[in-house]
Amino acid sequence: MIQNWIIAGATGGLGSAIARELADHGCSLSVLATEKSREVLEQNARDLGIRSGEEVKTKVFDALKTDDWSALIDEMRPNPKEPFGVIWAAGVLSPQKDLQNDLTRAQHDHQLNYVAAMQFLEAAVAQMKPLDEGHVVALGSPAGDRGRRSNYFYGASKAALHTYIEGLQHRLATSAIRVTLVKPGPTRTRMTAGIQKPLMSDPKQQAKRIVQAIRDGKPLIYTPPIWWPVMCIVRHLPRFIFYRLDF
Amino acid sequence: MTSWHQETIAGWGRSRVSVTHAGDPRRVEELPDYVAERKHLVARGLGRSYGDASLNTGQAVVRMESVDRAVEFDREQGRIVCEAGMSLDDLITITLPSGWFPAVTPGTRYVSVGGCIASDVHGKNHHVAGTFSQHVNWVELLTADGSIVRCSAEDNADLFHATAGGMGLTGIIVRACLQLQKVDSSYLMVRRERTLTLQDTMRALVEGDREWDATVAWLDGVAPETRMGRGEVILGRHIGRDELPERLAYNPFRSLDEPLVDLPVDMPFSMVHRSVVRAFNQFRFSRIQEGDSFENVRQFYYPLDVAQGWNRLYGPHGFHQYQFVIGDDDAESLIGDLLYRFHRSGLVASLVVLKRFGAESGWLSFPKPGWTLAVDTPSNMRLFELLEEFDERIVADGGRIYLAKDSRLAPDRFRRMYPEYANKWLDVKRKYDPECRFSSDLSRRLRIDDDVLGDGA
Repeated sequence: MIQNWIIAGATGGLGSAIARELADHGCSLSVLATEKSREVLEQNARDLGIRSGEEVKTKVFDALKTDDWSALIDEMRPNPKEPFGVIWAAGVLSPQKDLQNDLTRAQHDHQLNYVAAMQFLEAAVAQMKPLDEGHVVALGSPAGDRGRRSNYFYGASKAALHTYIEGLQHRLATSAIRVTLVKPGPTRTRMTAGIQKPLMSDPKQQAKRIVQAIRDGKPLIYTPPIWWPVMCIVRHLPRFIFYRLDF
Repeated sequence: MTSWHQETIAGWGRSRVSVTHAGDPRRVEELPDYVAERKHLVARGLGRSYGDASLNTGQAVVRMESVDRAVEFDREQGRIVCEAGMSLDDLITITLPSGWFPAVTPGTRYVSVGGCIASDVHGKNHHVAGTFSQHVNWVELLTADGSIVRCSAEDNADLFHATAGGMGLTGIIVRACLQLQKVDSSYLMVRRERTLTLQDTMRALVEGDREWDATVAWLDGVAPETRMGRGEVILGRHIGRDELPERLAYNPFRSLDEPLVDLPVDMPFSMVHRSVVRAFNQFRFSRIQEGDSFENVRQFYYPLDVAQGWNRLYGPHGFHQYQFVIGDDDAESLIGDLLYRFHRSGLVASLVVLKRFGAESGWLSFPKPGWTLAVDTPSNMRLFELLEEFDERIVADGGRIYLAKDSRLAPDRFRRMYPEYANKWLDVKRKYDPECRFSSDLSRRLRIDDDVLGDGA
């Protein structure tokens, strides 16, 4: 497995759990988060450093105002001779109703969930090319598998990410750069705080499964795995049934 | 910026749900805002206390799950400074590869450090190591006025003694410095003995305590009347690399395995039926492998952690764990009686654990010399009637009930069981929290709030 990782969105529920899991495996980390999470990022970095025994690089960034993604990655990556991996774990889940009523906000969400992710990953791949080694990981969502009235704005951004990753995988199929798309089911994090649903997963367990998938170099995983058959059914439900369901 | 959500939570026993405002701070520095925004609140770690200690119905709980970082780890001295929400699971992941293990650990590693201090938990090594807080170098506590006070057995000692075992009622534990124990591998030498009667079991434990660091007995709570008290005595001690067989010695600090099973949904009814427990116990009893073997810390200390959410097996009404300690003289007759009465009343004692305690420590800490018995039973009314009777016998014999497991003890009996409550603890509580800002369902049930605020307040 790749030993050096850059994690964007490293203070989120899943992002921080993945960072910890990688640190517990002794990986060297560079972590990125937004300005409002600056203190959390610094404190997390200290914890990660104790876990991994390696210095942790931190940086505050604004995904919507970054022009030079290549420079950002250049700053966070280890020296040019060492291969590295990147994980896009940033994202925002706003209530569907709010987005329907405020398209500027919908635009903002899409820019973060998809456009910024695409720019970050694309810039990373460009820097991996000279060594022809590396690993690209993005957090998608089962919500992107079929549009539903309860969250199709969020779903659409994740569907775009899915298609982008598919294309990237096709392009890199003959290289040694691995690409992994993770689709986590509902996880108990701040993103979902206050939503009380059964079957919420624990972020730590999710992170363990995700890191295992990264180690195995899997192209696509649903976590927990039950979401693969569930979404397979949801995707193929005939419309006359699907429209009668309220979810 | 604070973040509150109305949520329904429960203790580990799940016999009662509680609607509360739950706060989710991310950093220690945010905590004063959370305290300022609510009149009454209590900290909640990983929700492993069985009863109502971490519930605050209609009021607020502050979840410490995200305030769980390592702050400093001294690999030479075996001292770790961490935030209170850190789980022992995480702690062990960090420290065990360097040869350090918690000096005291309860029977699950999914507990928070803050919770371990607030309940002053004990482990299988209580007879040699004492309680968790005896290995705490210092604690940083957020008190009612919003300031963070560092206390230890030397500095602000009154606050330290009131906080260890204080059920979170003196403030919010935010950070702690722990002294760990040196281990030379993640394995123990374990001896298991099959015992046929209660007398037998108790004798084996007394003998085991002389030579072994970690001792405990599992009892078959649904055994036939003539075999009441039969079970398995488990003895262990940490061993070094040189004592390990070759197949283990090549990787002496092998890490903990992950949970094998996860029960993610509530069962619609209790799976813990007498016939199931009887079959399971019969199977377990007949399979006891007597003699010595090597076991990983995980197998030895945390046998139940292989199944996440096992408490859901008990269905919608949950279960109750009755844990008490009783002096040596009365122990055998009382424990024998209790098992007999459970059997006669048709109650299913699904898990029964017996252990002998060492010296007493702390003010509201549970352990004191004698025997402790913990009995898990699906909740029902008959059980609570029976336990009333045993409460009275226990208090009369100078024993006490473990608050971290409790949800039903009467206020007057609590005061008789814990004499230091009135002598010392209450004065410290009044000094640091005169308005009783830190309160919980437990503190109201035991009328601690009334004592602090004065009657009629």
